[in-house]
Amino acid sequence: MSYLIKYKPKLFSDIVISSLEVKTKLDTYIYAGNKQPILLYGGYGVGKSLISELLPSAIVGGDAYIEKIPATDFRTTADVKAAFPRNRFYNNLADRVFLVSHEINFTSTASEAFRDIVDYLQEDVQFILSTNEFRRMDGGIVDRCNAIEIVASKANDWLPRVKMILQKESVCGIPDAVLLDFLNAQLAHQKSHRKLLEALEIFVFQCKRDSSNNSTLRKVGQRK
Amino acid sequence: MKKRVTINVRTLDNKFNACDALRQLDSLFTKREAWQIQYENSTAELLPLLSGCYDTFKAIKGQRAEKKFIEVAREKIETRINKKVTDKSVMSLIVRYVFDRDGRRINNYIRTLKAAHEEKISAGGFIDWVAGIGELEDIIFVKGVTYQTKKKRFELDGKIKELDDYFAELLEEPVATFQVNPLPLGNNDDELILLLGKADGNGVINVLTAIPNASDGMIDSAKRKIAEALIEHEVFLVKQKVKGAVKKASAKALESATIYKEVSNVA
Repeated sequence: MSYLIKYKPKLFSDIVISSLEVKTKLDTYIYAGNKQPILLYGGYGVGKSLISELLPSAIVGGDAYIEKIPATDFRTTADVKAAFPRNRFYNNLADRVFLVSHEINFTSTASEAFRDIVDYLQEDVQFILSTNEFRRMDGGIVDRCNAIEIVASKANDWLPRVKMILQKESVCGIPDAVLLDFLNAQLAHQKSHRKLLEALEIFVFQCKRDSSNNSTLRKVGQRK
Repeated sequence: MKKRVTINVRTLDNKFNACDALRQLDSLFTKREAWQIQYENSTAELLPLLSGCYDTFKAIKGQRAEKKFIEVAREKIETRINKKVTDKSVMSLIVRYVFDRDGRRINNYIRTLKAAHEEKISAGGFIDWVAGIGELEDIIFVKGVTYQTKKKRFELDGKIKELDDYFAELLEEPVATFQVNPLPLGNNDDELILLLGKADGNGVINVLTAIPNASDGMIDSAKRKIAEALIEHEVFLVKQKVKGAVKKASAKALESATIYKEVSNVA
């Protein structure tokens, strides 16, 4: 099974986030009842979708009522109105409804309509939007949102989680400094958590393969 | 004094439909044909045409008729140029409808209109917006470009500025030195000269001639190409270095890794 699935965080607190600013901003939703729409932006594979998936449960402290808006190109006012009908009473569905969207794209006309929707539903609905294309987002929507840039976490912050994964995979004996070099190099190469887990999976595979090829040797790296 | 021509286009209202938009575009198309023949592409006459396109865009965009318009406009363009049109953008279709198949220019026009739209210029305000900035070319160069393009241009300009030092360095150990007497027409002794060479397929270049009367534009273009190649090479080197570091770090980690089961077997 891919490590992306196997070691996918189950709780919001399991997500590796380096930035103190990001943590603080997200904590205002969990601990201070902030309800401003959230707009997560940043490169590929840095954890935006994961945050938007796990943040609602952290906020309500249990199962949250989440509606996912599929990746959509809203072109016209009518498209937006059809997706968010005004006569829909979100406040009857749950104490707090989360509308989560990954990659939501608007034309400027549709943006204007969506701004209106955000203003109208803000009290009953927690919007969590994420995008790779922050520059293309409408200024009015950005202005209404708490725009949070998510960047790849640092090697230091990844270390405990990677050690846990290696331990579960029965790989041990790597000094922290060596592991940090490995993580730093991987993150410098590709600033994506997905790619980091992919590299880790390959690394563990290599360890196991070398080990079984040379089963009498204690050290994986000791070759003929 | 420049003559200002205005083309009246119906502004946004609820009754505006796909047929209205196409009628307007047909009228613009006829005017564009006349413009191309009579005015030999003068900007003064081009602006009202673009303004007409922009106003049509503003009128149809976001309306119920938009989808129908896209469908019919695409069909009409396809019939006219006898080629499949994959474009789905209203802006592109409008410009293509009016300006037919003038490839590179069409893209510039689309970029210009997109820039106006991004700056939220209202219908009827396009010509004044252009006048406020300067020439149409200024908008194409400055406004209608993405952040990535701006970044690339900035990098390239910086690299071009460094070229004089780079050439001075190369001059200390030139690739080849030979006497050409007299110098071909238009070339001075102490200036950069463009050479035309032919590769023989074995890594040897036979210099055929210096290019006579090479313009500043040709020299600038050559410099630009050299700067682009240098940037590309630098990016390649950085990537190689990072990849090397990844390989090294992986190998080191692999060396020190131990598998639990093996440990217990040995024990």
